[in-house]
Amino acid sequence: MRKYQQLLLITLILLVIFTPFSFANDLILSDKLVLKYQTPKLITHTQNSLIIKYPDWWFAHEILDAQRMYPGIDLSDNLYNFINAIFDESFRSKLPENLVNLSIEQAQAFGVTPDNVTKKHINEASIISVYDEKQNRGDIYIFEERMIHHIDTSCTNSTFKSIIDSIKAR
Amino acid sequence: MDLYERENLQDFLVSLFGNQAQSWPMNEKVFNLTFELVAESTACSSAMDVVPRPLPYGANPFTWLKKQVRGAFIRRLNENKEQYVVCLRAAAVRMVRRFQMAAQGI
Repeated sequence: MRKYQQLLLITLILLVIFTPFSFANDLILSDKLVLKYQTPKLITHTQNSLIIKYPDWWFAHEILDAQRMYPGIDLSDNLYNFINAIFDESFRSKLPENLVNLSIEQAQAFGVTPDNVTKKHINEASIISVYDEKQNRGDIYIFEERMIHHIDTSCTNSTFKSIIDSIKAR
Repeated sequence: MDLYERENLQDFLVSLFGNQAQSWPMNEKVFNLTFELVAESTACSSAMDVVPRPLPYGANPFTWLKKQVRGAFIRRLNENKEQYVVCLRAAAVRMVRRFQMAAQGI
């Protein structure tokens, strides 16, 4: 019995040490989605984003504003296709030519390659993301019926995957 | 930075990031991020013509550049902002959060 208790204790200690995330807080993204996040060092709010900062990494959330993403460009009629076109060339045929070029520029800036884009679904929401190993940063776009969320982060690849896994249905 | 440099830098960043940059303090961190943004963009290389290169690894651009060069760099950005906004807009989306954090002093 004593050996069993010691084994259990060691297992618990190892779990605490090696679990990169312990999600204690809820960031409500919408009526249908929540992002679980660990207690940060600090949180700051800017004009259009919420930044959650830890000692050696951070992530930020914003709701995309089609009229403010780029200076002088209104994406209102094309936002869904434009964001998808950053990651998926097949969407570029649905865009006007100037936005095709911009989607290519943005893909290059995000370091998009055929191998570093992931997609998943949570009920009706779809998530598309890219992690750029060279810059240790990633971008996550969450498409919901009424809005598109953007989460950007500077962190390790494993933390990036943990952030995606921490987006849950409510 | 003197008043003239701060005004030029702020005008340029407002063109690139929109009105949010109106509330950003124009300080060393914000200058260094602007320098990094331009230096990393091969499409905007003409802005770097006024800057002696290569920048030593790990050097702080704000302190490494002589005041006249720093002023000329900022002035060139602002005087040609329509051109630079086009070639930096995608990289700006990638870096905006770092600017926001610098503006918040974190």
